[in-house]
Amino acid sequence: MTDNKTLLPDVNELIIEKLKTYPPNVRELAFQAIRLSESYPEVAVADQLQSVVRKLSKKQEGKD
Amino acid sequence: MILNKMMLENFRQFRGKQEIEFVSPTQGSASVTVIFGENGRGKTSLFRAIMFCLFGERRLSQDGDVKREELQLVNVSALEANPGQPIRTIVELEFTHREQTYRLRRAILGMQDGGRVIEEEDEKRLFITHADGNTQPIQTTDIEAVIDSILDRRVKDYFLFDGEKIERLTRASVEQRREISAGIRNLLNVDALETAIKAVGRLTKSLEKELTNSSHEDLSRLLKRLGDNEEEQGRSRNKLNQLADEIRLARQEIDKTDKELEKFNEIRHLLERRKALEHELHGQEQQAADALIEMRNLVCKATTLIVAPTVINVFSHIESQKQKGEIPSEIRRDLIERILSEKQCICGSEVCEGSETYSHIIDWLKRTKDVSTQDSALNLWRYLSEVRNHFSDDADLVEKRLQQYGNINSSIANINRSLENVSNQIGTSERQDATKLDEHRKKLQESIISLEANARVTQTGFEQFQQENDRLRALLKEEKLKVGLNDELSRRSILARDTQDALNDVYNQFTREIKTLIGESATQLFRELLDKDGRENLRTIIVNDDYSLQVLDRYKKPFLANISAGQRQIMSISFIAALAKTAAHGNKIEIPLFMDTPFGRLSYEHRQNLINQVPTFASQWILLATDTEFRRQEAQLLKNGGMWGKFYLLRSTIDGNTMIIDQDIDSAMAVLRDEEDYL
Repeated sequence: MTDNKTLLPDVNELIIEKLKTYPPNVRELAFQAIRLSESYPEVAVADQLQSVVRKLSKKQEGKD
Repeated sequence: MILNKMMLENFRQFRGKQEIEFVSPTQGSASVTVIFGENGRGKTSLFRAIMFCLFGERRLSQDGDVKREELQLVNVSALEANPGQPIRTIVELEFTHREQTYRLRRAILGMQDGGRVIEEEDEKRLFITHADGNTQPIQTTDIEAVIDSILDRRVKDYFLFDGEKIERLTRASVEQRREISAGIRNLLNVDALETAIKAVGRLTKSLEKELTNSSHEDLSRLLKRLGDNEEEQGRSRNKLNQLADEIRLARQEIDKTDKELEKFNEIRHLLERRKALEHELHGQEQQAADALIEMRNLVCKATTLIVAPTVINVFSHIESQKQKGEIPSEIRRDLIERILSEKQCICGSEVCEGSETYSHIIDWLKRTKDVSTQDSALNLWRYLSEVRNHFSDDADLVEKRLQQYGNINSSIANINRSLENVSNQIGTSERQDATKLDEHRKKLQESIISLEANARVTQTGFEQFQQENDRLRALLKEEKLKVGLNDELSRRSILARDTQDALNDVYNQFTREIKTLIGESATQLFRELLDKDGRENLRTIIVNDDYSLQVLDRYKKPFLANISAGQRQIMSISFIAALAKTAAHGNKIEIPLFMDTPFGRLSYEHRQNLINQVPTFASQWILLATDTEFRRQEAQLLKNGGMWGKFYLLRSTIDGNTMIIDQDIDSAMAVLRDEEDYL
């Protein structure tokens, strides 16, 4: 129960399940943010998300 | 995490090396270890030893304002027996977690320096034995992180707790809400999600800042308004936190004041004693007054007692004359006087003057009293005979009253002495101090009421800022779209903002669901643990939006303010179990439930229910109980359920230390007492 490492995927699974109702690029950015947050602090995650958001935005532009 | 054993060496009152083996779920169905001892035998020290070993913490949540340096861990008698020598205090804990065995050892060195004891950390070691039998030492710097990954220190108080103090979770206060919020968040481990939300927020801000510098005026204005509003909201949040801190400090101060006031309990007792004495004195004085009135009424009788000896003498004299036949006389005086005057006897013969007969009659006359004197003497005799009979009754009555009055006066003197003694003990200055403390406490309570009112107003403001933020964000999104879908920076900014909103929504939804789930699970357990009467009335536990706990009655009305301390304890335990069950996805909690004074405030039915229910949700239950809370009745319940595996008796030694004695269950039953033994 208190084994946080085994608990975490369950919480994230639930969150990801709930994110399914959102547009794919929002879901992807949110998922990447959670994944990065498991290992990095807030500032580092925000920095790494800059490139993720750029890629997703370009992908979206391509689709549009 | 399952505790296997704990070794202590010179820790607090446990001198030398001593060990406790905990029964673990792997040893059959038994899962309960009972550590039994009267007050002062070291139960809480064992609790402290576990906290110290796992987290390096000396203080327990129940220590209140006791300072860390006031808590000495090194055994006193070991220090005194070895003057000038350092004494090593060790706590070693062996536990199993996910098929690995951990051996954690923490030691300190203690030494006497003049009148004080200096304690220094000496050793901290952790070894992990893997399933394949290989043992690996853990670097000292990594030990805390490893332990935190097994039992997060932020949630430890939910599993290692004092049964009587845990009811604080049901107290509606900012700290309590914060504690429950922390419990839910930490135990469910939403840390990563919270970090993700903050990181995406940071990303959004950075993109919007970039956008402000390079785009349309309306967009720039909206972004500025949103930024300002968010700043205001941040200030509101800070103010809320500050108010919460102030309320927490005020509550701590109240606790401290209450402790100070406890010192005056002795005075309260003395004041009550004085009141009782004054009441008693008043009663005695009333009795003395009544006795005086009675004695006044006896005065006339008492005066007759003064002449009693004379009366008795007179009576005796007349009585003696009566006995001799002198009163009344054989021949009446008037007859003799008539014979002498007529000079003729009643037989007819002449009585000549100077004759022998005449002389004889004169003698008679001399000896014979007159009739009225005789009658008076006889009347006096009759009267005195009657009076004399009352003397003894009156004397008894007067003596009794005098004795009674004397006793009352002696009692009054005793009461006055006691009163003087009590008044000296009370002393004027202390009474003033107690009054001052009472006033201080009242002011603190008023201050809390005012702070909480301020917090409610600030909370409303915070929510208004939130609504304005939502409105501005919607406008901003429209404006961004207006500025141009082809603008790549706008698209990135919109995506970041949408993701931030999505994560917030999901997070709020998740915590709402979790709160409902925990509430439902807690309710189920609460109703199983409650006694019949409680079950009749108390129906549902809910975790409110602000994380406060509430219980609803049969009419679905909030009822928390009316429940007893025992019911609060049951409610808190239900909440903890629900929290753990939810986090463990309905499985048993793989962590020891370590409870100090588990049953202190609980009725027998609550105890019975707890004993039956806890082993159904906790893999391991360790009870630290006193003789009054763990009796044969409770023991029999555990024994009958086959849940009881180990029993340790804490016995004091001549030198003031404590021995841990491992006893089998049957001999434990002989040590325990029945409820009747306390009656």
